[in-house]
Amino acid sequence: MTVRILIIEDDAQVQEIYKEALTTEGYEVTLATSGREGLELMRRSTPNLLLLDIMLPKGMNGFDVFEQMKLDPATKNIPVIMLTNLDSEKKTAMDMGAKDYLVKANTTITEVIAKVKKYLV
Amino acid sequence: MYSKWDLVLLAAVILIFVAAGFFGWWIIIIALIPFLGIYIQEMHVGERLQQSEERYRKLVDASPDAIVVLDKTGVIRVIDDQTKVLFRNKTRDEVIGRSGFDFVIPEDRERMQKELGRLLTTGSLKGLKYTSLRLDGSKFPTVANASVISDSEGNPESIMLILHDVTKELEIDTAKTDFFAAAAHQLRTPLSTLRWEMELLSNRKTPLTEERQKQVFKRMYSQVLRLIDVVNTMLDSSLLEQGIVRTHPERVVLNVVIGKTLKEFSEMSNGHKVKIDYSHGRLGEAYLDPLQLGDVVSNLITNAVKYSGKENEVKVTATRQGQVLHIEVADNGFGIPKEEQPLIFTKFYRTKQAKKVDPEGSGLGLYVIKSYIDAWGGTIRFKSPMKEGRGTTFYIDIPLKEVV
Repeated sequence: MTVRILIIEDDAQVQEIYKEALTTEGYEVTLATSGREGLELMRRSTPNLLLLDIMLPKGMNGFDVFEQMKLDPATKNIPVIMLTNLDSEKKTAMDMGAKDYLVKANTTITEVIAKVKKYLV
Repeated sequence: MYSKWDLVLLAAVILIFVAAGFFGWWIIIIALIPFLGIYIQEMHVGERLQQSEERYRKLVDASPDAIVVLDKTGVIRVIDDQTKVLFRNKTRDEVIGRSGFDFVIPEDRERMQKELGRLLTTGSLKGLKYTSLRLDGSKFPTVANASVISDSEGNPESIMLILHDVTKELEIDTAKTDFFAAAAHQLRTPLSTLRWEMELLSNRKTPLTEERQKQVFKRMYSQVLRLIDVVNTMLDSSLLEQGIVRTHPERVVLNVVIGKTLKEFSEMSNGHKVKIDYSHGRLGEAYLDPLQLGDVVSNLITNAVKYSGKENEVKVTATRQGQVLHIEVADNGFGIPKEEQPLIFTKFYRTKQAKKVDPEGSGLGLYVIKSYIDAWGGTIRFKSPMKEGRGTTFYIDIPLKEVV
């Protein structure tokens, strides 16, 4: 069975990197550039894990996505790893129920993959 | 009001009349001489005192800082005009005779008491920080320098406080902190991308095809350009901080410069649903720095787009009257709240709305373009009536050097 990971991230290059690293590990990767697009993809078919950025365009940030997900029984149990370059939001993210909070600049891609493996359901 | 010397004079006159009854009128003349002498002398002293008080008041009123004189117990005896303005007092009488402690927040009073006590022994204290309290209940941060005024025998008589309102300094401080956080964040994004690209390359077990190699290096190269961009912006703003505006005027066709900026913009703003409506008269040629003029126009449009609602329309008008270029940029967005209007050209200042819409902004845009316009000898002003859909309109006037 393929394991599907959804990535909501607005930076095209960062998307590419995640995709390359995770497909090499054998995961199926779906990309969304905005929160709205991500929610739509999630509702269409539930991913096994979500990598979520905080600063997103079009008036919907990562926390808004998280909140919306929790309202929907189909998406509320998807494990979420927050990947961002903001230091300040860790507590909010963890209080909301994120599995982990990683600061991009201080994390290796190897660590990202290790966290994905750890929290996959 | 009569002075005590008027009463003395009155008493003397009565005394003289009574005495005249007993001793005759010749004695009146003799008795009058010393009294008159003293009266005239005192009048002069009073006048001199009044003059010196007036000079002192003028000196105090000319000071840019607020000056307050307290007696030893902390009761306010003298305030200057600046204090009246700072504390929004209608009259001096509202304040004089009240305790100075009434004008700081309750949390600061105990410390102020201790510091003033210490002052009486040390003679002067600098950099005392208090949160001042107005009679209307509003507060503002102040830094005070205090010194003791002594009487002729050297005993402490009163305390002079020089108060400086530091609201603006504190705002700039916070804004600077925000700016560095935003700048660091902007550096972090390309740096983390580069880090991961390199990590992926070094972890590879099989070599990349030549085609793929090119792709990866191109991606890395674009991140390096992003880094350089961020650093250049930081450098530019630090030059501006020293008041250095580098301008490179050249002969330009004004309409081409503005038109080019608008075109770049409408390409960039694809997907933002922005409609730029540009109308212009005959603008002709002039000597002006085309990059800076482009920056001015694009900055105002960026703001108009960023801080407008979803369906936004930006109106740009450019006209030339003789040797003055006039540009108007109007949006139909939220507008700028009245209390924030005086601050928008301040370095690093970001409105509440700006922070919400674009948390990473530097707060330098309007400051930078105003520096350019000032360097050209021009003006920038705006109107933002804060009524539904009325938005904000910026008006720029730039004096032009004619092309010969």
